[in-house]
Amino acid sequence: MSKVVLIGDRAVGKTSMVHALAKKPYEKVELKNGPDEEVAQTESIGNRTLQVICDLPAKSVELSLVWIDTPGELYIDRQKKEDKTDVWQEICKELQTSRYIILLLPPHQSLFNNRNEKLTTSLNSKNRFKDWWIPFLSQNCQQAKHILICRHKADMYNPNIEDLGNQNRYGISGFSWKEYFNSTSIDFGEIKDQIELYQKQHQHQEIRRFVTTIHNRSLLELPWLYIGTRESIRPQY
Amino acid sequence: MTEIAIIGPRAAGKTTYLAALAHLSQKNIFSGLDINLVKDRNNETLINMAYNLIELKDIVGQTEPGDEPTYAFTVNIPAGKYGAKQTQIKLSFVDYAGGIFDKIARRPHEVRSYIEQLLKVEAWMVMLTDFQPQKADSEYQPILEYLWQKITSEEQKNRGRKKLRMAVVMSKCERGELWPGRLDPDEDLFKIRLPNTYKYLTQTEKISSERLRFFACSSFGVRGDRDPRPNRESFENNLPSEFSAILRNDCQWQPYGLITPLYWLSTGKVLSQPSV
Repeated sequence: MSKVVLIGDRAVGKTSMVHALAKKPYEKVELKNGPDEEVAQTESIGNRTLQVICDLPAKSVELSLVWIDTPGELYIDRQKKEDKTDVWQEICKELQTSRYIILLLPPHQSLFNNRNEKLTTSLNSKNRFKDWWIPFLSQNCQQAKHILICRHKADMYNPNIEDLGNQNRYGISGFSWKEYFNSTSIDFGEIKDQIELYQKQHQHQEIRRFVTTIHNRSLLELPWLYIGTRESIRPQY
Repeated sequence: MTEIAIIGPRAAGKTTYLAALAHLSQKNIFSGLDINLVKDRNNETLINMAYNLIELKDIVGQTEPGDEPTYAFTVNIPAGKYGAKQTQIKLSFVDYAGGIFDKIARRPHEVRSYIEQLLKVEAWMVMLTDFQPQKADSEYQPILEYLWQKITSEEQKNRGRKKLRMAVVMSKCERGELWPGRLDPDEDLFKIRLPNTYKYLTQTEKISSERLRFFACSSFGVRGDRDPRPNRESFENNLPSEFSAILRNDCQWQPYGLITPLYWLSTGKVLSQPSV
């Protein structure tokens, strides 16, 4: 079974992403045994098997994915990390055996010129990625084959989220991963160079950028469809 | 059934080649040529891969060590067409990760089990590229030397063993600097671009033409008879397309030389049309 670990800062939406995925109506991704508890701050590592059905064009693929949800404050709060050393060690252990890492990044003020002051600044976002996430991925995620970096809560900065979802609906005529990934580069402007450099330095991994929100099903499903696509081309024994 | 090990460095295009064969089985590009995939789970995987590559414009991705799949095909060629004497060949392929090839000469102990597997099959398809010809040549020659010495020793120990055939294939020959040389790959590709490797195989070891042959192939082909530009584009705009290529236009798809090395490996005979 392939493992998927969701990582990202506190309150970025790791747990609610999966909860939203479990809700109907589905488009191409159905979570057969999604979590149905209320979303609260994750305190410890959540570890459960998700049965995910991806309706891919060639055929439907059923995946069993081990979903590891991680407490976000450990990525920010040094004191919390020290207080919860055993949890931190468990996270690192899970990361080292995970095939897929989904890293959720929050939006920032400079995206689409949306000066929403609730959001962090572009400079903070860039520094956070450079000073924390790049070293974190380098140290802890080298066994992963796929790192999916999601600019999450895209509805907070993009007023055209509905159109974006319609244009990138998987399976419609003309959809291509190449075009989609080229289009998402605009949402990662401040860290685009860092991502490219990381990819050059880690050619055994595939780094892909996604734009997600729980308020648009098409966009929400795309990282999971990508995982489904990758799983569908793994050798079967 | 001819068992073929496909080996070669990373990014040589081995898996893309197999996906192209799977895609060819769905198209009617070469009149009368009929390719069938054996219905099993791995071949379904290959069909998915071809679909992703062609329809969804997604790269094939790297084959991982430990994940070497086996695929089985039959190829039916109409009698007399393309110079074929035998009209059906049955093939099974093992697609080896490029990382294994890269270690063969320098760290053979790390890939011992793979080398042992290679010594058991009857045919090798060695796919090579040469983005940096001098560097590539200096890397490939010791690897092929190691492998050839191993197989020779194996054949001496086991006299009853069928003698290995080795097709050395210059892949990605849709590249502008390679395309004109595709018709005579010995002289116009390998001798010029990989001279040490070529010299080792043909002069040092003097491997007979019954056991060694050079080919050129292209999984993507060029855009047309009058348009020799590669029919590929880069998956990501900032990466060179040789490393992360997808098919540019399926309607113009005309791969080159996918079948000829397989036919020779299986029958010892050469098709009259190298483009097939």
